[in-house]
Amino acid sequence: MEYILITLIVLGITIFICYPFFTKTGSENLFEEDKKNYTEIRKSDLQLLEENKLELYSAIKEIEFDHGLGKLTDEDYKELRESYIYEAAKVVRKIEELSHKNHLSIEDKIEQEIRNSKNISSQIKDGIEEEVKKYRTKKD
Amino acid sequence: MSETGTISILLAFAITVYGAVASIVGAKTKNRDLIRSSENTAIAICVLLLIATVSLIHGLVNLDFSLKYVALNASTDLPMIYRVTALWAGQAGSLLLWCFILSIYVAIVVYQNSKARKLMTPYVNATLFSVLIFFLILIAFVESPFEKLAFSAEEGRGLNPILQNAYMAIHPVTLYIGYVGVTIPFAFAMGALLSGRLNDDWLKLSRKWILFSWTFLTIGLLLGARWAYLELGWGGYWAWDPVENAAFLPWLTCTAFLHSIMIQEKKGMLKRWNIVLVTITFFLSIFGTFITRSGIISSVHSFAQSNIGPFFLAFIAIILLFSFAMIFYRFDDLKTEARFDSIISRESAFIFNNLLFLGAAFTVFLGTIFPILTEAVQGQKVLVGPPYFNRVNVPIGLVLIFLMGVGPLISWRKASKKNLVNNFMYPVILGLLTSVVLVVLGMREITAIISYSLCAFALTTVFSEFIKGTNVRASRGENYFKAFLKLVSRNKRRYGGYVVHIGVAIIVIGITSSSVFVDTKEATVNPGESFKIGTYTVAYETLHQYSNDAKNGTRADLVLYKNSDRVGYLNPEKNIYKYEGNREINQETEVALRSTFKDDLYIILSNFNEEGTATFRAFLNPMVSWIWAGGIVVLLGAIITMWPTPQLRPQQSFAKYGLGSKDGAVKV
Repeated sequence: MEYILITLIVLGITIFICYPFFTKTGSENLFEEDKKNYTEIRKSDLQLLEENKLELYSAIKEIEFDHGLGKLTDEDYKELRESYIYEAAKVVRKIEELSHKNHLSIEDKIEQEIRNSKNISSQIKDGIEEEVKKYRTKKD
Repeated sequence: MSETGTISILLAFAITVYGAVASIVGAKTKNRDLIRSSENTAIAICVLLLIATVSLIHGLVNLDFSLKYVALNASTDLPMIYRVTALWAGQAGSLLLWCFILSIYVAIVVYQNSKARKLMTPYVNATLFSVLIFFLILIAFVESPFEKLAFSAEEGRGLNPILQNAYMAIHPVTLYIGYVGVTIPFAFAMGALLSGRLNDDWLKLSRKWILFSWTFLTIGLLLGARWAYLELGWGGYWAWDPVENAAFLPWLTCTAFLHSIMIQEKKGMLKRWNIVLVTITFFLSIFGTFITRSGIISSVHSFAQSNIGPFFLAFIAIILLFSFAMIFYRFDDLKTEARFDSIISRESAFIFNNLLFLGAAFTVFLGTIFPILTEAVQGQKVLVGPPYFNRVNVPIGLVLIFLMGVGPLISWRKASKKNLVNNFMYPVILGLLTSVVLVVLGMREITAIISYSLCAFALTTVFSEFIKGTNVRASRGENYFKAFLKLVSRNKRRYGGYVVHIGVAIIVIGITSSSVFVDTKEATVNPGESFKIGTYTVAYETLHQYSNDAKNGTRADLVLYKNSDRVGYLNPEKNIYKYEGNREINQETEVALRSTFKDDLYIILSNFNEEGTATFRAFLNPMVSWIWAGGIVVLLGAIITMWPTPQLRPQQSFAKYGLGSKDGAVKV
């Protein structure tokens, strides 16, 4: 009885492991990295820039959160936030250059991305718009 | 069933080797079928090891004494529950358990990764399979749990009586879940290095595993301490024993890692440091298993005779060489462009925290292996005892408590001096007030005063975080209770971490009290006499002798009075077991314990004679229960931190820590 059990186990395991060789698989990409619509040349650069952009946005939100809890003075908050928005603008500009999407100006892009989060009070949104105008003036 | 078990282990070994090779070849050639086949292997291994484990349990439960492992670890008088837990009582069984738990983890990770395969996925899988191969080699060819005896014994040696305890029943399993779990983040790190995918993917995918492992390491350590307290009869719960240290070491580096990954997530910094740290943590988990299983601590000569010691040493050497070779190979790719905004920032506090945890780990490591080194070099073992460990680790622990209070008060990136003064004022005042009050009340032990004051400081900062955050939410119209719940649920990592810190502070208060203010007494009394300890009077009534299948026992009847009021009865015992037990211990003391939040009265029956004169050792340990209660709070905090959050759309993932919301209310 035990030997029958062992035989069944060995057979079952072998079939299970070999099963993928005998079944048709879909044509979807093997790895997630292959799924993105990047050109081969710019694939890794764009992905890194996108990740960098998200990190900077995360940093801005963290600064806003700490300021709300009183851990940053108004001066520190303003200084840090401005510097991260400025860096975010540079990253978005690079993304635009690589992906050739120029129908939005850089500042409009930042504003749209932050607005899309739907997490911003009107007070903060006004603050961001002011910041964006400032950078547009500087750029001009 | 033993043949089934043996075949299952051998088959598991064979297909694990196949799985490792298929993962690597499949990744290199982008062969979809090969990769999918290797992923199926993970599930097959888990099934086979389940069969092997069930087969061994079957042998233990049915007392199949033809199996060497059953004959060594079970006996006819062993209660059913301990026949099952005997699975991890001996070397071969505990190695099988290690393999089985790891196979479950591997199956889960491989399955999860297969849903969204990344370039590093096959390399992660190959690393997991490689670790499994090592342990399977041990149980397949070196220390088989299904080794048969030349003859079937009529009776087994039985389970060591001190292992027949509920805490010892679950302590090894929880510790193994923690130990083994550390393999997963290590595998993700190696996958990142091997594939060259050095972004934060490996960290994000392994983060929950790190927390899970850390949680179970913590539970395992506390359960072990509780078992030692109840069973070993010396009045304490931690003796810096090498086996205790072996579990403590990966906990120290894992705790450091939990904090430093936040810096990589927030700032993209410490990439090299985190990969090194996870490698060291994995190495320490294997080292801990090596220490516990190889016999090297009892003697270098035991190690030389041990059949698995050399294998562990070779595996440790391979891990370290390969891992650091890969780290050096990818060294330039791991650099970061991020900057430090200020030395007065949470990043700095975390880095100090890391250095302290690593410092503690190094000193504990050195103290643990020192006897081995001296015996190997000089032929004589030089023991390192609690005074060395306490002298080094107590100051480190106190500074860590201080940083635990500082961390929440300062922000990431930059904290101004004015801001620091405002945030630190009340916690510092409360900390200082605590020390003043303690001195006024007559306390003179400096270490205790500092410890209690720092705990007060740390607890104040944590509670103030909860209060501030709740107030901000409540000021927008939510009631306080709902505001508090949403505060925690929307920021589980932060506030779950704070709950863990509360638990740690409670544990530290318990450790401080029970270490510094313990009162001991040894009394030899006749029936009818009594002795005092603290505010308790212990009246000795009589001794009872009894016998059952397992043991001949002697039980003392004690009546307990507190300030003249009778508060209870205690019955310490001294037993002689009829069967030898696998460590040749046949005597055991049963501690009598009265436990309250204020103190534990702990009494051992040391000796007695035929006239009934008995010698008792009594300990009055203040606030020991705070340690176990603090452990429960730590566990609660860990659960909050690990609780799943609904998946956010990518463009919203950065906004969850923001202040605004759709309806204009503040979301914190």
